[in-house]
Amino acid sequence: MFVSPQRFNLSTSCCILLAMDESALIELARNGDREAFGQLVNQHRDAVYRFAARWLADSDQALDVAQDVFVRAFDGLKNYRGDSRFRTWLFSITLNAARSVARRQKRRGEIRLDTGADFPDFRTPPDAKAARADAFARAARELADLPEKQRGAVSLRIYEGLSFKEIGEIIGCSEGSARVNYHHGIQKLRENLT
Amino acid sequence: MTNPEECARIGELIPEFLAGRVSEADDKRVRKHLESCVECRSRANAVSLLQQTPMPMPDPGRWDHFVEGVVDATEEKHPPGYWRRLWDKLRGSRGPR
Repeated sequence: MFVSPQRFNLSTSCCILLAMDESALIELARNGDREAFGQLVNQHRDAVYRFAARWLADSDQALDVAQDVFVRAFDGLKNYRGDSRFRTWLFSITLNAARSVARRQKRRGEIRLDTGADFPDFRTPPDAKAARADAFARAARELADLPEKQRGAVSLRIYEGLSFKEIGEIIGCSEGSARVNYHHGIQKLRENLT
Repeated sequence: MTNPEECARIGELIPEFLAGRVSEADDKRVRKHLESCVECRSRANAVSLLQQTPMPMPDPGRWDHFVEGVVDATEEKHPPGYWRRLWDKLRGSRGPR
């Protein structure tokens, strides 16, 4: 369990929360139940971090964004109407937060140096391992260099398996336009990576 | 000769195909198309490379305290008494207990 039981006095109530469906947790969290909110954070943090990390290609920034997303989500729960899946709503907040970080970074003229640096050990010969790491770093860089909407559409489709309708809701366009952004993004990646 | 509509449909299926999450019929359809379409094979290779690219891993120390970080940041915005006041207000607005 994520939240320390000593700190937040979770024990039996936590077990009940674990068995609750998402809409019940959302309702509780909306009414100020922080244990329920903690449970929602726990359920979605991996996906939110993953999307931010793929989009930004930076683990520290992605972690900052992921935490910021849940703080914003807590504030915004009262406005969440359940028209879209909760995760889709969180991804919309993630994209806005990641965009803000990227724009701030651009204004400061920062250069990202750690793209693709955190690779696990692949247990392959050094040369093959280095070539593989180079290919992965290049792929991450090419994805991060796509225009925002294309990057969002490609990331959400290939890593999260979202429908184009959901992708459109997140990146702020129609289902058809989400499709076009995905295909254009894939085409650019294909030209630059193969 | 490639059919642009079929290429677009296959292009949309490729991520799920590579992840092994398509139906048997779609699996056959994608395989058959990729055998004859160089462009789509090339796109599939790019998607495959991206899917295999490891995600940048978070610092374990920060990751282990992720929820606490969120709660701390939330409490900074909403001081401790906020939760109790909010709860009392909501209970009160729903009539007698």
